[in-house]
Amino acid sequence: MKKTILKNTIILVLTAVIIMISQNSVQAQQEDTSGAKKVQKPVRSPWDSDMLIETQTGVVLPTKTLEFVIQHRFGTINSETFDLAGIYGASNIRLGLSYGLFKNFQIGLGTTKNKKYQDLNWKYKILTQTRSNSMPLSLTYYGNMSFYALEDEYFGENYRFADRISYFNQLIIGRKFSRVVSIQLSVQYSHFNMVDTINLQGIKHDNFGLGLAGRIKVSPQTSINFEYDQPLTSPDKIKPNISLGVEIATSSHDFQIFVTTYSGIIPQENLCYNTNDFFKGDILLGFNITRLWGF
Amino acid sequence: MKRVLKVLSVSILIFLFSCTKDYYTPPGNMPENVSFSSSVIPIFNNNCVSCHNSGSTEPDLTPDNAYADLTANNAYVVPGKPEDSKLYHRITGQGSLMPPGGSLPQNDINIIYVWIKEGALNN
Repeated sequence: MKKTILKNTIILVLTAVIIMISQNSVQAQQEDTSGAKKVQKPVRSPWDSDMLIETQTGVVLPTKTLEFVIQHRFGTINSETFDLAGIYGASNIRLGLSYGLFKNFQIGLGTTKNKKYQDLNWKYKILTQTRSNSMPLSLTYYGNMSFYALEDEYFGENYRFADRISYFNQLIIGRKFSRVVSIQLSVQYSHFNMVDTINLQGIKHDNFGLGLAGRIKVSPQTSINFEYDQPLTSPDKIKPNISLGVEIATSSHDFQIFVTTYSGIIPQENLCYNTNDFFKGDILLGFNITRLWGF
Repeated sequence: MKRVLKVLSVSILIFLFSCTKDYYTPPGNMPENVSFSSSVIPIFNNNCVSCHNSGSTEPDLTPDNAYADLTANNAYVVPGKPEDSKLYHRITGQGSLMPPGGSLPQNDINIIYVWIKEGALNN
């Protein structure tokens, strides 16, 4: 079963990459025959924010730009009793700040309620899609290093500080296909310095995942977003993420409201510990709000 | 390009020097012969029943109803298998963490773990 999912996912990724590249090849040939040479400007607004529901996008904050983000997840909507679709249920929240340190590089900090995660994150845009299509894709690297701030006793008998640390790395390949459609694929890798194989049998220190996300613009300020994340090496009881949402963007604000499977907010937590199953109704409402300031 | 190399170098160094592979080892003083009424119920009373009470959020964790609600159809507790029990998933943060205000003390988590492992008895 696991092998089949892995095989299908790899085929899906390869097919998508081939489609992206082949489309570029056709367009490049058309441009060559016309003889027109265009200035290599980056494509306009492939995404409205540096995050899309649960995942990061290829957007990196401009230099000297500060972003404040609020990410909130309510409880699952399939509670046994009435809790207003999870709004009165167990929630999770992250508050974060990110800053464009220099061109194509941003750094950020955040704090999350569940498991008291404190994260340091960074993102670097390696390749930028151009309007002329001379570069058909964008390629972005995102990473974070997170600390559990839970009490020492939570880590068992042979506690050491490093047990609190986990890492997440993500390589994001994206393309804005038109004014309406942007798609991205990502390869995800996480490492936990300590895992609890007693309570979660089969969990490994290192885990991989693949992600597919997209945006369909329905008006200049409004988009429909979707996301799918498939863990590849996590135990069977760890489930994939399916998310669908609406995004409303202005020049300095971005507001996303969605239904999602993930409740952890921190990406390595989601990749390795999500037991919510979309097909059993374990979905929840959530929202992200960002605010930008330029200096 | 130099900046990129600097960033990558620092990232790789941070990663290499703090990357370990440890496994959770339960504290040596794990409880034995856990009593549901005298050890588990007080945990529920102190942390859960403000929401999980009669007529409110399920399961009902008040002393008179907790055992029946938790074990009916193995809905929340699978005797002998904490790793398959929804109660244990929730208090260890698999899915939505309970209690919502923050994790239980590890000693309390261990008590519930051992109680389920010992067969989830109504003792």
